[in-house]
Amino acid sequence: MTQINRRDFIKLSGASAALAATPSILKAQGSSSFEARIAIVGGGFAGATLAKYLRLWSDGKIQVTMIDKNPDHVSCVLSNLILNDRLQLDDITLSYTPLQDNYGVIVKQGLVNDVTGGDVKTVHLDNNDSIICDYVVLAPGIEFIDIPGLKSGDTNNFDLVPHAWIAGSQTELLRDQLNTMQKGDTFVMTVPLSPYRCPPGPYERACVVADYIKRVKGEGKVIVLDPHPEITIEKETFELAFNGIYKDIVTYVPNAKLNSIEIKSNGEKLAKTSVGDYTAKVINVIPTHKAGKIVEDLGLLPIGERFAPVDPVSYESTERTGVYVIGDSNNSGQPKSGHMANAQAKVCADAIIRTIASKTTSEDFVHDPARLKNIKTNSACYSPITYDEASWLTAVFAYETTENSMKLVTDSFATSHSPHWSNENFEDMFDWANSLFSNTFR
Amino acid sequence: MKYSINKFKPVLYVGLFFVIYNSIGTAQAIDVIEPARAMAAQCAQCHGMEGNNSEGFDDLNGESPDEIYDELSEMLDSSDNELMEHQAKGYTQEQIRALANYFARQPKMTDSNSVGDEKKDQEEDD
Repeated sequence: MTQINRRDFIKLSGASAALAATPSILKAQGSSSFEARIAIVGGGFAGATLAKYLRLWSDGKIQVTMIDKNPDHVSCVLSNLILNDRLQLDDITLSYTPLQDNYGVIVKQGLVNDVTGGDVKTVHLDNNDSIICDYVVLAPGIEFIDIPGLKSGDTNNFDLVPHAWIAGSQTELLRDQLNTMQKGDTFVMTVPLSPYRCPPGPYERACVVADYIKRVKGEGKVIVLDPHPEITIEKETFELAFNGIYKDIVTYVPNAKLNSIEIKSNGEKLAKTSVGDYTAKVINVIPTHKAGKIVEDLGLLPIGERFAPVDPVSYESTERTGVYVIGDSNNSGQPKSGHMANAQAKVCADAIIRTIASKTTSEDFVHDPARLKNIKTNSACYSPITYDEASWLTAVFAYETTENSMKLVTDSFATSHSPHWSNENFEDMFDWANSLFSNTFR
Repeated sequence: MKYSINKFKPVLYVGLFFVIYNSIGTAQAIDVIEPARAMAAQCAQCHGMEGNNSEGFDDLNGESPDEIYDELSEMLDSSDNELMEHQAKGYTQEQIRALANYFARQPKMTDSNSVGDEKKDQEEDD
């Protein structure tokens, strides 16, 4: 077996040209021969994995249409490395072409406005296109809760105060703002209220920016405003970093609930919180999240809920039959991450295929006890702590029949220690990301 | 050292999977017979598509079931603080056996990407 890793990157790129003659047996067939039609709203880690596995596991017998508002996907995974110039946006921009060419996924660009119908559904796009299907899977990622002071019309304006929490131009904007910082300037960032996308992400970002300031600017401040009473994940690791290698740079402020952002006429930025006001050259607000807009628009969020309730054996919405919610938009109690979104998509793909197969028999393949006892999802991730060192975090979740929920398997949950971060982990991080990108998008 | 994101990985194995799934297919229009498939897919985030073509982590395909079982079993009892040692602890002995059997039934990739012999093995196993 050829071990493929970043060191072989160039060799592999060369080889790919020679081996470009990919079999195309999973290419889309005529619509009459499909067992079912599925529309997927959102082409991130959840949506793309689902599209691929539905085609793969059905031997191409399911028609899969994936709709995303963007022409390709910019990965949030590794996106903090844009901020310290380790990577460029192009490095983490993932094309949908392999899903089309190799698996016959139909990819459409557009924004989904509505889903109408009962057993047979119509997905309506903003460009007047529509898709007829039997099942709809929502994988739209996240929306942000309004921040007073950033609100502009119907939306928050992140042009001056970036969130950089949905990777893309926002990530570059924050990088460019960091670039303008002078020696001694202050960077303020806010942690969103749990549950939020990428649990270690905000603290990881604080480390990446602190490292950048230390190496490039010499001196400066990073103030982390956290609404939680303490660091929510990898506490020991991040405390060691904040109080150790970054003690002259990072100030961690717990119980700091962001009330509003103020941008003064002289351009000065102010974060007003429950524990005081913080002025900074650059402010990075990561607002508290809720499910993607379409989830709320379709009435899948009970009043007062931020994320959609789902049945964990299938990810079908508890509010509407035949509509599923995977990834960051559901409230399944599992961490919101690209790796986990991929994991959930596979459980959902398996459930949908079993649902379709059950239709022609009296058997319920979805609730087959042999299946239920083996429903698993897992999460693993690496966080850069310095320029070339990273930490890791891992967890496995298992389906619990009595509570009908996914539960953390206690012994599977762990973080790196002794050492808490290392160069070896940093290298593994690229193997992990490359594998995850590949398993999801290619 | 410049770390690279591999954006150009060739997709070589799609056809192979078609063969696998067809070979275990039944009269049913859509195959749901393989119970370990969805659980085994949870390994693919790091160990490649259904165990194929990982990007630097171990390749699980084509190892003997005992080899995979023993390795994962050791991890269940290990006190090492390694990421994979903890991932393994997310599964029971019985599940590890099912995973090992599943991966052992998948063809092992070779440098030449020749799949003929493995395909034969696959059919014999099934």
